[in-house]
Amino acid sequence: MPEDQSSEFNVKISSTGDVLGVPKNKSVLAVLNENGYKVEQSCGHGLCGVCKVRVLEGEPDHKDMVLSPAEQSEFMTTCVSRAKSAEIVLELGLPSADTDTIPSSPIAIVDNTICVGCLTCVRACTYGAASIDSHLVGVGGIMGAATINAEDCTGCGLCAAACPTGAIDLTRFANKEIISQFEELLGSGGAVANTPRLVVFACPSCPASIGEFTPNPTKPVDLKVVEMPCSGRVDNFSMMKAFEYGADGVIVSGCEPGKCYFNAGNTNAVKRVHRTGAWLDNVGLGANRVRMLHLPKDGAEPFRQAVQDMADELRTAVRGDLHKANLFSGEETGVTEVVVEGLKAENPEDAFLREIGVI
Amino acid sequence: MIVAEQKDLPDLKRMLKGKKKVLAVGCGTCVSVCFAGGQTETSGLAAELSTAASVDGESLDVEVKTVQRQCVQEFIEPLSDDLKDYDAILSLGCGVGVQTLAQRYPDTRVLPGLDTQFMGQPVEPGVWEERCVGCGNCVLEYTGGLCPITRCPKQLFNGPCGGSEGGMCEVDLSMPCVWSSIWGNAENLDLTDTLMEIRPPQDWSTSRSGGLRRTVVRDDLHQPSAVSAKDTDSSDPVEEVPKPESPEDAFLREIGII
Repeated sequence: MPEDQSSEFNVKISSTGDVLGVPKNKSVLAVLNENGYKVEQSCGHGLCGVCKVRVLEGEPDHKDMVLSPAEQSEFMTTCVSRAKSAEIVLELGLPSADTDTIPSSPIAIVDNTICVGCLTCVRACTYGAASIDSHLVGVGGIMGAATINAEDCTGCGLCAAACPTGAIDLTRFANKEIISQFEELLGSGGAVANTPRLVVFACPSCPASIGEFTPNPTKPVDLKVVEMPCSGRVDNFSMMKAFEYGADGVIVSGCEPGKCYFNAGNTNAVKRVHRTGAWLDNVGLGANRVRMLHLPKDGAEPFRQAVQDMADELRTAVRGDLHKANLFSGEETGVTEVVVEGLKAENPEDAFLREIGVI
Repeated sequence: MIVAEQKDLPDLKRMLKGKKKVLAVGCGTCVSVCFAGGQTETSGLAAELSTAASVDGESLDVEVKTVQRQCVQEFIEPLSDDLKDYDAILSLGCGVGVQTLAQRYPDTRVLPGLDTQFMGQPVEPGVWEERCVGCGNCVLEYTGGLCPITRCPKQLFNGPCGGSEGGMCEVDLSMPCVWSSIWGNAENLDLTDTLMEIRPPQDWSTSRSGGLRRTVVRDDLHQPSAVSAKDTDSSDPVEEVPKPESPEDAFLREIGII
């Protein structure tokens, strides 16, 4: 998503002469796709360069982190970059007849040089996308390392979270992205007394992801959203790291039991949440600072209630900025798992697909 | 593979008390596979330790570096550049890794983050069982591939004992009696006669039964190197001190007999 939403400008397509207006809250990529000019994309954050397009005229406002200065004199990444001039001219082919463009999902990639061939990803993947390729060289020179078939991969991130060596990462929702979000959301301080800072690892259909959370103004909560493709992408390290940065509580939101959109994401997430709870007891913060929420598709109200409840419980135990010790008693309080009974959505898979813009 | 488990947090905190900056070194081989000391587990532990310190009102900075195999000197050599910044190294390798680091970096406190357990097999995801005790005199040819030293609590060579109950072991009824399993498959593998043979007692001198730590030497592969982690130079011949000649031998030589 573009971070600086302030500029409006026009994009002209060289081959057709079409002039498209790019409003403040839309990326060039979105405008192009909506108008039938299909541009491949992957990370959506200016990190991979897949969405780059040649600029023929005008001055782009580069916001990416992947193009070299030489490349930036010729191209721009349409997912994040904007324009300094009133109009930029892009070199693109003719629009496709199929205007229903499907955003490409993140995929998992293995760094075989640190893969130890433990088969964890192969066993974890419910799509059969992970396998051992005997031609790939793994850690310390062993023959046989994991590989992910991009066509079968749904980008749920289960393998990336399960991998013990960190050899697997996603092209979007990458490990570094998660940590840099903590840095941004929590690292610069700003804790307010009586206002718990809760980090929610939110999948695309979570009310927090789609901007449907409004806290009670008399019972404030500072909700920090870290987007995930699936609750199964969340690993113990990420949850613990949020606390290291000063979070008061962590929520992992996922599908209802037995209804995980990616088959096994929520069952893995629950186990990891329990383990993080044990770590939180060890360090003296208390296991009830981490929770798993199972939400139905229309989960805005249950989500709001669950967040509010957690904030109210933690209100007297706000940790503040990191250098101060906190006051939590450290008793073993057990992990709270909330199964939220909500409205039954008809055809939940279709509703989900519609929400994330696939259909 | 070697199977290990992380030490409990109270023990780790006790070992690191007073330290401000610690390097946690993970290992990319065995302990990664048993989820004890790989990159992600080590990073998780680092976050746990520094959060615990902040909860206690202290500060502890834990950096993480994972090497491919902690027992290999070439792989731990690159750590030397960073060490002056740290008060201690917390090794998340097996006991071999800890000692390799300690020997290479004798001026740095090297602490064990793991309890190394055994040589074992991942029987199913999340479960690892001991399979080999390294006795140094493998009897698996006689038992059809099932080890009675590791898997029989009494280390019997002529089991099953009288306590074997329905194929299970009396010491722990949830565990199969290995001798029951050995005999159960003996006919299939044509081992029945072999099992009835009388054999000499097991040579235990090669096993871990106290005494000197064991060494394996291959003369065809041995390349004495300047950089060595050996704790003795056991392959060099002991210099013989010549014995002074006895007076009788001196006489016999003088008269030409010898």
